[in-house]
Parts: sequence; structure tokens; C-alpha cells
Amino acid sequence: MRWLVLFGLLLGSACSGLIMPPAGDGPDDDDERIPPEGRALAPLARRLHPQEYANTVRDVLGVTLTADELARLPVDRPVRGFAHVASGQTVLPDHVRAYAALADAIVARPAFAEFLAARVGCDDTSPACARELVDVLGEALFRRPLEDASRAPFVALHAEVVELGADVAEARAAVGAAMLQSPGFLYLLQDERTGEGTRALDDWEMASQISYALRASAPDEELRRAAAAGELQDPAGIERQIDRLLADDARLRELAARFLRDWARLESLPDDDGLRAELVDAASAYYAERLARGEDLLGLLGDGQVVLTGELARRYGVESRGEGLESYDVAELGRGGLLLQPGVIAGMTNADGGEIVARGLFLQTQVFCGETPDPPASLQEAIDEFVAEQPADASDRQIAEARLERAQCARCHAQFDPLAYGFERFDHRGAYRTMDEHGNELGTDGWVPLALAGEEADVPYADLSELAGLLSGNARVQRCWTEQQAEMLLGRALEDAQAPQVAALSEEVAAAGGTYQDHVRALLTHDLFRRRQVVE
Amino acid sequence: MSAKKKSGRRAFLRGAGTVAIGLPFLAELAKPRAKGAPGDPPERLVTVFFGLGLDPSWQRDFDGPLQPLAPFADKMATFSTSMEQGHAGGAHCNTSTVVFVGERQRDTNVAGGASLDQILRNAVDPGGATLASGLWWRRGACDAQALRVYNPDGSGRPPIKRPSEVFDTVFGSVMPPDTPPPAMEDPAARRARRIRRSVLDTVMEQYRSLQGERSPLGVESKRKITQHLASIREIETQLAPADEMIEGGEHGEETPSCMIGERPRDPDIADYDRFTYGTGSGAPTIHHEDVREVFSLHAQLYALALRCDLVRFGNLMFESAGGHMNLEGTYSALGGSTNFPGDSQHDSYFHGDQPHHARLYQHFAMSCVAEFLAALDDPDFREDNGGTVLENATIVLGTEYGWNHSKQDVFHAVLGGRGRFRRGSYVDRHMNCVDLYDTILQGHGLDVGVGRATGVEPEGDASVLLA
Repeated sequence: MRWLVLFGLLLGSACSGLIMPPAGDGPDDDDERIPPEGRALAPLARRLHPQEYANTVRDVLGVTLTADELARLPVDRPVRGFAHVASGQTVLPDHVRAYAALADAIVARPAFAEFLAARVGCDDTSPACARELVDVLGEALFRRPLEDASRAPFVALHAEVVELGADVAEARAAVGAAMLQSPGFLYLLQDERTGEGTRALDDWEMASQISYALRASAPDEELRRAAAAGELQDPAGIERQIDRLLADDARLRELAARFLRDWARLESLPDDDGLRAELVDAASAYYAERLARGEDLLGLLGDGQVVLTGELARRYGVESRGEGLESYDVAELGRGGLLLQPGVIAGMTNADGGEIVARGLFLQTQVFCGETPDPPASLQEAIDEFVAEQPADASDRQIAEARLERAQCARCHAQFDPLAYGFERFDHRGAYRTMDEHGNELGTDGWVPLALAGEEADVPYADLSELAGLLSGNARVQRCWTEQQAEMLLGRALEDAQAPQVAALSEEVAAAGGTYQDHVRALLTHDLFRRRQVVE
Repeated sequence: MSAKKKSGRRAFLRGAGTVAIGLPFLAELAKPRAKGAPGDPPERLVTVFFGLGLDPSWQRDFDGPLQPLAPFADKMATFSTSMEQGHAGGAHCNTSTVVFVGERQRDTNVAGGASLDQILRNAVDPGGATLASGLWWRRGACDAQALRVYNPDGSGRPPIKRPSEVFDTVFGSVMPPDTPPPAMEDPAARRARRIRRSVLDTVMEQYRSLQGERSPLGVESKRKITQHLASIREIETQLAPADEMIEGGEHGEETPSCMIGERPRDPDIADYDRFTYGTGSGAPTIHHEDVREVFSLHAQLYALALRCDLVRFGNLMFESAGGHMNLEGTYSALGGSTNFPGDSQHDSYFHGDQPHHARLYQHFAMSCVAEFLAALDDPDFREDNGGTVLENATIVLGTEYGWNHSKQDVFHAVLGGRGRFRRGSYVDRHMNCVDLYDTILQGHGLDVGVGRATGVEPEGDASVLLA
């Protein structure tokens, strides 16, 4: 936001169309000049996302939560679409209530007792057995071996409940329930104050960060072994873990699908026509398959491929090859590619302001990492008047063009509306059409505004294939893609102080081939992932 | 949709007065009071919001849209204030973070500070329970349209939409309300409760240990941990009451004013979980009688929560800012009638500039609000000092606009306050909302200077409100 104001002052308008780094989720950078190499991320505790919570208790304790149980957890506010970003998280009593209920449910499951029976070498309520129990559970749930100070409260709890008359099972359940509600389990915590300047994450912190980035779960046995052996301070040791974890195809596809659902805002798609699940599944399948195959991610913008169900195929204007998910080559039709998956079109249209405005803002935000402020309240009357003046049978494009003729509207809308003009042959659910409901012919052309194109003039495109080519060759789009992959992997919103690192990573990734796997290798071995500022 | 299933509300009301409230709630009653002499009712402040504003022509008198509030005319002070508007978000978004807050917004969904109820809570009763609930559908252009309770960091608490969830939240689903009173508590249940409390104590200590000087966490992470701990404290007696919370209070037995019925069933109306992004399209169409049925449940539950002292702060909402329930059905009042058009009141009546119909809609809204006030003022349920909840708690009514998106002449009213505030209706048209908000807090002994933190200038003097 600081940048937004700055640009507004410089350009006399808050709508520069230039990249506006998102509001960061660490302390302000004040006015200190950002060093050329960028600045390390400030540390910030991150609470487990509901899916991470579920994966963790499943992978660690063997307890599988039902969808209904998991639904007790409130959804956090997404930041740029990502619901697991630390700065979007707030804690309400509803969270606390849900964590308490889930903890009770987990420790009541037979799998919990079985987990302990297999790992704790005693079965009584003695202090020695309590200590062993706490060590076993603590290392599993807190993702690192317990020190004396961390162990003591839980050993004391065990003694307290035994004194109240608890038997072995009840005492174990009490310790488990307490740990499951503790910050050491619910939050990814790091030592934020030791050292000066910046500090490298220790092996256990690295193990957790790698694991939640690539497994959305707690470190597995091999990661814990590597952490205990001190192998995660070394890029070669990290790369060995990356290669191993990326080979888990199912987990990779799961993460890819989650990225797409967040990035394309699919979670909030309405289901008025009963197609929501098909739209989400098809788009997720398209992305996950290509990511798993190791394709160049920017190349997906113009790959001419689309994944459809039978119904979606009919709506998309291609001959259906069956009712299940099928991949179609529609390059000859000038369609296909990541942005033209019907689910992605539905996601980018799922917002206020009409199709062109919603899509334009989506493209500006999610493809260029730009930002536009909401219209000022002082314009509301003018907006109402403008809307009232538009003919009832005008097309969305005609309204948009009329809007650009008004200077006070064009100041912002010129920065994103034209990006979306070429999409008007797709309705809000991604169905193909050539005329709208009023009989207006719909076009395929538009332009990339000069500020986004990085050129001295707007860059026109005749159809969406051309637009895809312009986007995939755009350095800002490339950096934006890297930035979003980094935010997804880190669970953090990056700020302007990290722009130099993102730029360097983006070049490194492009040189390596531009795949998701290239992004992972570049980022997880980079200081942006491995170091944090030391703070007060 | 006009098919109505009345069983939800009927069941709830039938139960009222017949079932003793359960143990965890008695525990809440026994909590040490925040301040004041024994027997003094606790400090409470609840805001009541209704979207879309109130026609300024009818804010002085009780023979227009305010007619349903006429029975309370001598118990309230009414004001027309200007409303500070933020810069982020369009209409409705830019006032949504200001109503009951007064500070300029930090961002579209981020208020400039805490809401009135939370300011008072944090000052006098940090553990005081908060409830945000009510009837709303428009979430729309910004989440803030449905947020009226704000934390000091500007984050909001989404209101609970389903009456059954309000019931579970307030009256406890973790410890069911059929738990026997302490003297009759089964030894096994007592042991289980004590174990549960030990667990909670350990958990809370974990969070406390990360707040201190020796914590490995920096300021920002500590803030998150502190927020988590505050949320635990807010409901700790619901999660696991300690012995002293149960046995140490003066309300160890059934309290006539605190009786609940069975868990209400949510009336079968349009999807509760639905929300719209745009203006009108996609919002549910609901018969006005169905709306009243749902809101009545909310009003009754909120009143009961206050009566039982399970809630002390928060907001009850009758439709969010820029509200878009698409009401249908014929509504008659004020010697006229309107056929609610089955599309958005916001679009048809306000953007459509139809004050006659808007007035009847506002009358409908006020009739729902009046139901809440009546429940609070029930003479059968008097508190230790002999007053009703309405007389003892501070209730602030407010909305977002004057007429049709104007930030001028925004209706507010103040009721109750245990003698802190003057009663009798009067209107001052020359003040900012911050003047009123600040005065309300002054009545509670707080000199906050609402608005100063973000540079909002006072415009008038609301001190006439103070008794």
C-alpha cells in the first residue's frame, strides 16, 4: 500500500498500472533503501491451513478427519487468492472452539492410541513413562525434539490428570489434546530473535518449511532424519530432499490443484447451474497434469490444450469424446491454454463489475501482479449516472469502450479492461458464443496497455492466441509467476523488499526451463527460503 | 419462496422458561464482574445495525418508519450524524468499516480501529464474551459490508447467520446444556471436566510463554499469539470451566431470567451460506415473513445471551450494508402497502429512488429491530438492580447512510446504559458519528477520542447525551 501511495503521488493517479508489490505481511520497511540484493523476509508465525492440519494429523498420527470435522475450521482471508498466507490469518473464538473439538475427536480415535502403543515403550502412568510419552508425541506434533523447558508443562499435565484419577488412556488423551491445541503444533514457529541481521533457519525449521511447501504436511521420517543429521543447511542436502519429494506424484498433483483453486479463485465459484465441480475438476486436472509432466509453466498460456467433461465440451463448442475428463487439442480454434480453461474463465469472472472489469482486474492482479484501488466513493454518483445512461442492449465491450471515453473512469480502467476484451466470446462459465444475448457480435481483439506491456505504446492483439504469446514473452508476467509460486511455497506475501530476489529467481527459473520443479529447486535453495531477518 | 416452517421458532419459544440453563452457562454467570459493586449489572455494549439507511425526513418522529420503535421512544436518544467515508472500496464498503468505529478505514476490509463494543470490552472486561450475529446476505464487493464488530487491529468478526449456530456458540456445544448443576454433578463428569480444565490451563500457558521477554518470537508473531490467547480466554468457561468459576459465584442455582429452550431449527429459507458479489443478482428472494421469522430467532437468542450474561459485547445485524435480500410479499404499514418486488431493495427502492416504498421497507426493518428491544425490555426478566437488560446494557442503533447513499443524516440511537445517558428523543443534525461514539464511551468513563487516531475531526457536541 505504501507503494500505491507513492506511485499515486508520482503519477498523479493511483492507477499507474505499474506493478504494485502487494502489502507485505512483515514489519514495514520504513524508508530504508532496499539493498540491490533485496532484503530477507521478516519472520512471521504461520498457522496451519485446514488442509495442512488434516494432512498433518493423518500423516503423523494416522487419524483421518472427515470433511464435516474439518469444516469446523473457519476459512482464513485469502491474500492474493492464497488462503494459507500468514498475513491473512486471524484467530477468532470459532477457531479455538474448532481446535478444541478437533483435538478431542483426534485423541478419541483408535489410531491415536495405536500410534502411541507402537512408539512408547511403556504403558503406565509413571513419571518416566509420562516423559517418554511427551517426547514421542512432542517430536511428532511439534516437528522437532523437545527440550526440557518444552517437555516440562506436558509432563506436569500428565501428573495432574493422573492425580485427578485419569487412567493411562485418559492421561495420554489429555496430553495429546493439549499438544494439538498448542502453538507448537498449530503454528509454524521459528526462532526470530537470535543473532543479528539475518539468520539461517535451523535444520528442524528447514525440515518443516520444506515439508509444508512440498507435502502440505509435517516432515516425514526421512526429512526428520536429514534434519537430525544437519543435512538441511547444505543446498545439496536440500536438493536431495526436493528430488525425493517431487517424485511423489499424487502429492504433487494435490498441491498443483490447490494452487490453481486459490490462484483462479475457484473456491468461491457459485453452483447455480450445477457445473461448479466439473469446472473446478477440469481446470485442476489440466494444471496438475502439465505441472506433473514438468512443462514450462508460462508455456501453458498458449499450449492450445483444454481439459473438459462432456458437458463442458459441448458448451466450449467442441465435439465431446465422453462424459469424463478428457484433454482436447483446440489450438486450431485459437483456444485452449491455462487462461482459457472454462473453470479459470469462470473464476476470473466471479467478481463485481461486469465480465470485462472482473476479468481485466484478474489478469492485472494474477498475471501481472499489479494492483488497482477500488473506485473512490466520490465517483459513486458518476458511476451510477454512467450505468443508467447505457443502452439496455449494449454489449459489455460497448459499455467498456464508452467508459474509456470518460477521463475519470479511463484513468484506471484503461490499465486493465483492454486485457479482457478478447475474452468476450466466453460467457461467465466459459461457454463459447459469438453473439451475446442482445445479438451483438462479439470480438476477439484487444490490447495490452503500455504500462503492462513494458513498451512505449499499447500492444494490440488480434485474438487470444496472440495475447497468450504476448503474455508468455512478457518479463513482468514471468516475474509475477515466480512471485506467486514463491508465495505459495512460503505461505507468505512478498513485499517490495524481496523484488530483487524474485527477479533473480525468475531469470534462473527461465534459464532452467521454467517448470514448477525448476521453481521449487531455485527457491528452496535460495536465501529467500532459507534465511529470515532477526527482529525484536 | 414463501413456504414457511414455523417449527424452529415455535420450538424455541415453547422451550423458553421450561428448561434450566446448563452448568457451563451458570459458570459464566458466576464470573467475577468487571467492575462495580456486587449486584451491579456488568458493563455491556451491543450495537444493532440495519443496512441501507433511514430517510432523514422521518428520523425525528415515530409516525413514519420509526413507528415500530415508538414503545421505546422515551427510552432512547436519537441522532442524525454525518458518516465518515473511507477511500477504499465503493459505496457501502467505504462506510462499512466506519459505522460504530469512527476511524478512517485502513483498507477495504480493515477498519481504522476497534468498534465501540470492543473498545469498551478491552478497557473494562477483556474476557467479556462477544457475539456478532444476525441476518445478512450481501457480502458483495467487500467482506466489510457484513462486519460490524472490529478488533483493535481493524480485523472484523463475521456475524453468525444461522440461529442454530448462534445457539451452539453461545450456549455451548462442547459441554451440552443438559449438564447437571455442580452440586449434582456426577463424579465421573466432574473428573472429566477437571481434566479438561487442566488441558486448557496447559494450552493457555503455552501461549502465555510465547508472549514474554524470553519468547523467541518477534513483535508481529507475538501479536498473533496474543490474539489466539485472547480468543481462548473469551470462551474458556464454555470450553472448560474451572471449579471456582462454578462454585464461587452467587448464581449456583437456576436463575429464572436465564432459561433456555431446545436448540432451534433453522427456518427453511434460501441458502444461509450464500452471498452475492454484485448488486442484486444472485441474492436470494425471500418472503418478508420468512425474514422476520429468522430475525426473530436471532433477536430472541441474542436477548437471552445477554440475559444469561453469556454475552456482553457485540453486534446484532438486520441485513448488511448495501443489503440485498430480495424481499417478496405484500407489506402493509403506515396506511399504505408495498409489494416487495422480489428483487433487491437496494436497487429498486434506493437506486430507483422510490422513497415511499423505501419507507415501508425501513418500517419493516425497524419492526424487526423493535422485536429485539422488546425482548431486552421484558419486565419478567429483571436483573439484580431491578432493571431490564435494555435499561442496564448500552444499546446503540445505527446504519450506514442517510437517504440513498448520502453520508449526511445517518440515523443513530442510544438506549439503556444504566442511567448514563439521557432519554427522550431529540435530533442533532450537526455532528459527526465520532462525536456521538466518543460521547457514548465517555458515558462509560473512557476518554478515547474516537477518530483522533486517523485524523477524523469532530464536528459537533454530543454531550447532551450524557445524563
